[in-house]
Amino acid sequence: MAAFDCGDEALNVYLQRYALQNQERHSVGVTYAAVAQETQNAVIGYYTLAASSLPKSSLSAETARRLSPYADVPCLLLARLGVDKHFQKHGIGRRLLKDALKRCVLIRGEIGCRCLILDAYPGAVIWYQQFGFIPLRSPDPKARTQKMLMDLRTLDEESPHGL
Amino acid sequence: MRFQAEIPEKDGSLLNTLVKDLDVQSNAELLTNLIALALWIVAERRQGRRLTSVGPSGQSKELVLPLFERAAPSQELPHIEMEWTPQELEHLAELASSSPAKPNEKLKRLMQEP
Repeated sequence: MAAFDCGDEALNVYLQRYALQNQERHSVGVTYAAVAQETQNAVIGYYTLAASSLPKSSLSAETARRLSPYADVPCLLLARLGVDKHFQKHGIGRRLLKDALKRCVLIRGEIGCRCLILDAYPGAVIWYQQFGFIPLRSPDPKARTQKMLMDLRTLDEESPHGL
Repeated sequence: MRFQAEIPEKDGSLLNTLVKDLDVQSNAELLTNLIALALWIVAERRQGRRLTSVGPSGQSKELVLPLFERAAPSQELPHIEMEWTPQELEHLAELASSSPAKPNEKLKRLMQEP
C-alpha cells in the first residue's frame, strides 16, 4: 500500500493511513482495493463507499416532502476512487466504478437508498458524466469539487432498462 | 511449545528460501526471529512511529501493512463537511423524485462487461 501513488496526495494518504482504521475502528466506510499479481499483490486502485444522508432539516419543506416523507434522505457516498499512476488508462477505474455500482445496487435492494453521490475533482467530472452521473450545479471554474449524482433506480436490474 | 501451521505450497518455498538466505538452522529459529521483528514493529506503530527503509542515496520507502496498522494509534481523518447549496439540493430533489434517467450506452456496456 505504501507504494500506491495515484498522483493525488490526499487519496494516497487516505489509503495508507485512514482507510483501514475508518473501516475497522470507526465503521465509517469500507474500502475496496484492486491488486495486481505482477506487482506482488500491491494495491493498484481503490474506492471507498460510505453510507450517507441528506439531513431533512437542510431541505426546504417542499423538497423534503418530495424526497422523503419520513426521515433524512438516505444515499450512498462514493467517497474516494483512485488508480495508481502506473496503471492509469488501463480500465482499472472503470472496473472499480463498475464494482462500486454493483455494490450500490445490492445495498439499495437490501436496505433501500435513493442515490449515489460523489464530490468529484473538476478533472474527473467528464469521466463520471460519461457513465451517467449528473452534476448538481453548473460548472464553476473556481470550485474545488463538483457534487454529482446517480439515481440508483437507473441501475436497478428490475427496471425496464434491464441492466 | 510445539507450533504447527499449514501454509500454501508457494509460501512454503518462500520460507525455505528465507531459511537458506538468512542462514538459520531451522524453521523454529526463523520463527523466533520473526516474532522479535513483529513485536518491534508493533511497538513502533503503537507509538505512532512509521517504518521506512532508506536507500543509499537517501530515498526512502515506507512499509504500510494492514496487519500492523491495527496496532497504530487511532487517527481520525479531519472531518470534511459536504456543504450543500440550496440550488444543489433542489436539483438533487428534482432528479431523485422524477423518473430515473435511462442508462446511457457507456453505462450499459460497463455494467455488462464480464
